Amino acid sequence: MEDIILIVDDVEMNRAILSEIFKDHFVILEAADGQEALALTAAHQADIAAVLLDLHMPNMDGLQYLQHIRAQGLLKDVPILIITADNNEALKLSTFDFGITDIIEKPFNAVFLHKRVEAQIELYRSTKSLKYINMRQEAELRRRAEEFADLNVKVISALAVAIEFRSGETGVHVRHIRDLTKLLLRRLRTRDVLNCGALSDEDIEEISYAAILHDIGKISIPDSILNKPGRLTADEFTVMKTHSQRGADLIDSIGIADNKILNYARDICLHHHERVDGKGYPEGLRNGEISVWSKVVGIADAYDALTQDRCYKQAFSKEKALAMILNGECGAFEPILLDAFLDIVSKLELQPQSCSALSAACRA
Amino acid sequence: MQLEDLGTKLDIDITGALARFSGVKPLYVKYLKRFAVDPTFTAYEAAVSAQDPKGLEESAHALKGICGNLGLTSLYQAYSRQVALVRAGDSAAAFSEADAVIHAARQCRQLLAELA
Repeated sequence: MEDIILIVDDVEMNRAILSEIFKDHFVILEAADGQEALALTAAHQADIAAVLLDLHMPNMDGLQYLQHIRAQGLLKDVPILIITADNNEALKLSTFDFGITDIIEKPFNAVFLHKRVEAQIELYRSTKSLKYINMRQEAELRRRAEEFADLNVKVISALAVAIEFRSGETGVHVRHIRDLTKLLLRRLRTRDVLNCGALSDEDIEEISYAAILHDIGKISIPDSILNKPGRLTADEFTVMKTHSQRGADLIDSIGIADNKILNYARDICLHHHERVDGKGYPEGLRNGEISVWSKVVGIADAYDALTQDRCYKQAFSKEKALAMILNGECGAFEPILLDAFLDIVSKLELQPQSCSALSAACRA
Repeated sequence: MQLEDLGTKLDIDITGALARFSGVKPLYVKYLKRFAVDPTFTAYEAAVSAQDPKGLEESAHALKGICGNLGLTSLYQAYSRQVALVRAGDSAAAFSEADAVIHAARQCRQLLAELA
């Protein structure tokens, strides 16, 4: 409990007068100079409600005492009132540089002094209490914002899996994309290419999670096209291609604000079918116009689509899929990206419909 | 001599000073009597003898505070002027007025020493 008033004055009578004023409501500690005050401050700082400080004292004066307590970070939230007979305006003003609360001139009116000191103590206590309440409220708001952002991502992830179910798949594709994205980004970071050298583990985690959402725009594609057991017509393919823009729109509609995962996800949804030669969709972007995460998800998506059974085709072998990608049958990828992708896939014993090898590699 | 008798013999604000001592008359009287033997006064006299402006300023400043709190109005004003003169760089004026201040203070201390 902060119930101590520290009275610092070299004149015993001044201390006695002040002590008499406050002794009924506070515990009084007295110091005859700054040094004594400093020792008492260090020993009782948690319980000091206010300091009444004279300026002119032997050994260590009031200003030096203030310098010491500020340097040591003591009494940050405690009112310090200068009680002085000094008329030196510059000296008195300089005490405000040390965060003092008020200056009371001697000889003072005891009743007014009492009221002013008690009012300052009350004000500081209220401020401290408000600061504490604010701090707790801010922490609670942060927690809720994180919870909400997390919920957003979870809901959309569930949607991504639901879309796969809708097209007769099992949800394994999105997990493959997540794991391939993580492995490929780590490899690109190790090689310090495509601006990946600066990616943190957290960045890679977030991008990999965002990759799950790459096809959520397919929610808007009719069953007749999404589940067509055969080649799509040109018109049907035009409809199918809208899933990129629809995915970005869907994420926009829930509001991405500062959520990094959703920001990555929006870009990936929109651009994972772009290719470096400008022949991808929807915007026909080229090379550096496409983010590295969209390129990474693009190649992972192409590979996984080839190696999994789909309603319109059977799974290709790993070797066949890689050959098709290298031949440009899934569009153009940068050699540097292809090389890193070949490197990670060649080390995986990936079985169709299984993600155990990928998951194990990601955990490694 | 009783506290109430001082008012007729000294320029003293008993009411204001008593209020400052939270109305505790014995406490007020205790420090009035102590002023009669306060060593700061000796320090002030020594600074005057030595023509030491720094010593004069420091002791006069301390006495100013004490007299202010005790309600010794004239002495408070006299010591305030001493401090102001030294700080204004006019120590000569301060020293030339010091004898009168010492005389007034001695008379005051003599009376305070007679307090019951």
